[in-house]
Amino acid sequence: MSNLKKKASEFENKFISSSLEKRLSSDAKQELAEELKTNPEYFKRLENDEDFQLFIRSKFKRKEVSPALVDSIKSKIGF
Amino acid sequence: MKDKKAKIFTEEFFPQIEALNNFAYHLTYNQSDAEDLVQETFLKAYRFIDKYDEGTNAKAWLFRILKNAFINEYRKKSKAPQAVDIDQANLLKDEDEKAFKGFHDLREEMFQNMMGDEITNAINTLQEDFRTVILLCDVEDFTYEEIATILEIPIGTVRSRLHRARNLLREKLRNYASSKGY
Repeated sequence: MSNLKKKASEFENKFISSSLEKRLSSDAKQELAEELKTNPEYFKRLENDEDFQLFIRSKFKRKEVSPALVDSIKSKIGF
Repeated sequence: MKDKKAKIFTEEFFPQIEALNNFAYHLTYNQSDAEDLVQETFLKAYRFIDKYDEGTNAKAWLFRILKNAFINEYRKKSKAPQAVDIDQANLLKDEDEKAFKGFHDLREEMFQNMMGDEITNAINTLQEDFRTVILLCDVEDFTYEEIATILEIPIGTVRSRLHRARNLLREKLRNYASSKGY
């Protein structure tokens, strides 16, 4: 693996994956923000994944829960 | 003890019923089956409530129960287990780079004009394993770590499966939008 690829891979493991997994501390978030300024490809990937999530979540049609289901569960567990 | 159970159900479990019902529906494609699955999930949660730590992650705990009930009970009696279509997954490998470059497509007007039904139907056409990670991550906002726990798969598998699922969904949406002249 070339040094450049290795560095890119380390960066991805350290920040991108962690950010997408919502595990970054606030210090690391700040560090990521600084790094992303100089890594437009990573910035694009992060931004695109976030765009995708927002798009799907805003358009997705959720199923409504029938009151009968809630009543049935409550009755079966004795509430 | 009964008061404690009632408190957990009222404050932590019942608020998750809509998300559970939604997930169950998109696994079974049948409202009656989905309701049976949700009911079974709550009954199991009641039976095994001693294994739940109050105030922790009720949503992930209940989703895991529902997923296991779906695999162990519902799927067994309805059809053979579904696995990721390897051919379909391999085809996507070649498309990944292309799709990466086209990420911004989803902000284009043609996609924004799509209705919720069209997006939801596209998700429903995905293979079960791909559909599941999209539902858990993009619809329900679980972290990769939580998804790994719910599905009992390594976190790396979550990451790669989600990447493939998103690319496949983008491709379906792109084709659909083109066919409709958006």
